[in-house]
Amino acid sequence: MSEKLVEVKNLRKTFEGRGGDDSHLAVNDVSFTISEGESVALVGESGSGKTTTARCLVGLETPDSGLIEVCGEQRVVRRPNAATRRRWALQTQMVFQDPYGSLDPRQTIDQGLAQLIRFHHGELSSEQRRARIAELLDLVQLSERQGGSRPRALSGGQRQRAAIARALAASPRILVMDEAVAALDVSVQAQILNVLAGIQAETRVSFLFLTHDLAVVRQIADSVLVMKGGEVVERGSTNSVLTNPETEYARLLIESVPTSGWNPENVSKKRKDSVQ
Amino acid sequence: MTAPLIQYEDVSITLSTAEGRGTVVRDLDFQIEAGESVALVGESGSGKTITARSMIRLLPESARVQGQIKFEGKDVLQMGRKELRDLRGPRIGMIFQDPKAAINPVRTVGDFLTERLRTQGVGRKEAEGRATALLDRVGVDRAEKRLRQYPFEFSGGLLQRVMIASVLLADPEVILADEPTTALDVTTQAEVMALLDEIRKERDLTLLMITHDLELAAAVCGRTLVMYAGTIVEDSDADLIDVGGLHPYTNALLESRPRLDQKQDELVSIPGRAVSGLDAPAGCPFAPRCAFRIDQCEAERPPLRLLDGTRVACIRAEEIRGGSAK
Amino acid sequence: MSQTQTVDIDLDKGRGRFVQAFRRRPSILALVLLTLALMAVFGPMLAPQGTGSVDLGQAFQAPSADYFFGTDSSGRDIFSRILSGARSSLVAPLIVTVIAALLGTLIAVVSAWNGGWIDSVFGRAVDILFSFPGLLLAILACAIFGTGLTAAVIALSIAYIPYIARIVRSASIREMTSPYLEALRLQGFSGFLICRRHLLPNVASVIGAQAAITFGYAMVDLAAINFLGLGQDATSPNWGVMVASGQSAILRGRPEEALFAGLAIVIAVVAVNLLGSRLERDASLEIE
Repeated sequence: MSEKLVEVKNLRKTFEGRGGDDSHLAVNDVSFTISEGESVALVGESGSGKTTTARCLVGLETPDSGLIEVCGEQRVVRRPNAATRRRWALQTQMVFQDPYGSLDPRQTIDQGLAQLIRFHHGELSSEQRRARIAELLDLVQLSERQGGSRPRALSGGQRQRAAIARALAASPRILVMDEAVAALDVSVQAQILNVLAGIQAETRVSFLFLTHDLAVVRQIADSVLVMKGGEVVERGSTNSVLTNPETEYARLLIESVPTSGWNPENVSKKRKDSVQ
Repeated sequence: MTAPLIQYEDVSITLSTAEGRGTVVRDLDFQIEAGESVALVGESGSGKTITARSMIRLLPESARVQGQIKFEGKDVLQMGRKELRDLRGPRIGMIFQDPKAAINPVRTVGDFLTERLRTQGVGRKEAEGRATALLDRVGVDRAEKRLRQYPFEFSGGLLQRVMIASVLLADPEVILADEPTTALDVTTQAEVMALLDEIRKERDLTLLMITHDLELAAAVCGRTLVMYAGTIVEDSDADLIDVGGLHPYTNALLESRPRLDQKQDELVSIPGRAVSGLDAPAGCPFAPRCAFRIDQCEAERPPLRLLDGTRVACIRAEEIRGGSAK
Repeated sequence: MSQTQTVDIDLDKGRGRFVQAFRRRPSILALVLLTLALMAVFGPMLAPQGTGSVDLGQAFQAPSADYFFGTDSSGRDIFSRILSGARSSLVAPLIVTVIAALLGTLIAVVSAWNGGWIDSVFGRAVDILFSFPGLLLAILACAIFGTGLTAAVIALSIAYIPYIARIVRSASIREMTSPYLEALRLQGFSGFLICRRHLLPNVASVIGAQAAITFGYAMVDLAAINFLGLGQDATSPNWGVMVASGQSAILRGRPEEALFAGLAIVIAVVAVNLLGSRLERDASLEIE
């Protein structure tokens, strides 16, 4: 029986518009859980609220109301200070979409990892730290030479792997991937997905995978939440949602994936009908 | 036998880099007939974008082009400024990847759409009339009101439709679409592709679409040109998703995509890293990463040759297809 | 638009690839700047005649082997005074630059990082500072607090803060759009640490460029203060002072003092401005 690591209940977040009017309800009554070693996919298009939900979970946004419990600790705090974030960082970490902006351009990968390890695990000796750095690089399949490089010298895929290594430096229980493979070439994406699967097998880390790509969901997720307009419109195991979707929107998403015999015309008509 | 609409003959493009002049695409040889829909597929560094842009000579300052790029028999590279102006827009229109970046944010959509017509002397009322009609055609509702709005008031999908409308206003024969749906949501992608397809059929246009999405290309276009490291490795009109390609790279790309219908134990990933034309090794550019490489592959670059109706640049294509290779 | 396209082709290899013309070998500019720096440090020691001994018998001499630039109204060697005057002519603007850069950067980074009301308050304060023209403020300060460079230096430092603050603030905000800073905040690092160890180093080139430009302005303004007689006393070998005291000699057909002192100022300002624009250009290339 897997331990329940994350519980999110009735999450709600509004963004104020400019000039006080036109406020936008980004997340409306969202609830879900994540267990140890589980991969949950949060699927949705732009405006679905999946990114805001994830940001609330890791503490980058403060929700208006609702419950977020991670590893037994409540996270809905008005203004989390650095010490609180530090504690949270040991539980949840995030990998961002843009491989070109996720790393400090002036630090080598090694230096960045050393800084994080020293910060979160200050008790380690410098030798242990070096060993941990080597371990992390190995986990994401980066060579020693790449570890000693600056981001400038690395490709998009390599940078994302470095970002994943950084996220793992704190040994978190949950890794949030915010469209982390979307900006990568197809063959590179495959590499990263394999790396992630390997990491999960080895460390039992849980994933919260934000994506709009359903094929990726099939490959990496155990369960799926489909979001639209700030709400969860469908949820279930990957197999049930992708093979037997219940909602019109989920069906639409599935049919929007180009495959053999794809007819965008039909999809288009469907979408027009579904948009109120 | 009519001459092809677009013809690339032995085209190579070089650019100025920090290390001197480098070749980004080499020995391009292909043609497109009127009315075809062709996809140019490749990953980063493949050269697909610069190849498409060379068609209307939209190249960086330092670019030098060898060979001939013919549109209706006339060499684009030799065209003077006026001829080029008459080519871009009225004959060949280009749709850019990110509509937000390609449309001036401080002017109304109406201004954007009618600008070209106005410079040609068309009156304001008439120009707006045509713009409204076209916006309507591309599925933008309340078109007249929309003309007065600014780009930030449009969603990505809607803005891309505006871009398509602007291209159509010049009534071109060819549309170059540079990753037209990459910046859009997946459901919007379907809509925009449907629209493009409709319009193409309605006006009997020729479409050249650049994309990194092999599935999208194969599903939407009748013909696919796969590029790697600055060369064309496969030129096929087969249904690649169903029957696969002939070149190892094409198939490796197809296989490395996760599948919607089932989870794979491990995704097939191509070892190594994609190179650009600048770093292409001698011989077959894909050889270092190819599962089927033999010594001869690295000796000299395999030419594009015809095999069962597909052009492929691989010396082992028959063996591989026959299943007798490793 | 096409330029970005070429970078797209080989994003992997790093942006520097297609940037060829901008890495020119260090040339005349570096030489000039080095010379100025050496003059500032070693000037008084290298000057053949020190700060110039007064010898009225030698007044208004034309340039010669003994007196490279000739002598001034008091018979002092102009060349020696230019050399020994480098220190006071260059150090005061340096002090202004350092103070303005430090305070300007501090205000900019604190505003950018915190946003909200802190940004608004500092924004207003900076707007007010903008309304004070540097030179006039300096003159006012001299009028109130007496002549001598202290008042002028302080006044100019304050007047230049907003220029640096504004640019560094927008560079910081731009840098903050990259996820890596947010990622560091997520780790639990304090805002202070992130700004100091990550944000600042990445906007350092912008600060450097602004500082160089500020130095140029400070030089000109301080030279003007000295020229007006509000700065250092008339006997000091300060270049601005020398331009003023050289005025009378011009009528006697001996323009050397004003000319060479003026030339020294111009060369220094131009060199530093060129450095500033070179740094600015390098900074903007980094952004891509």
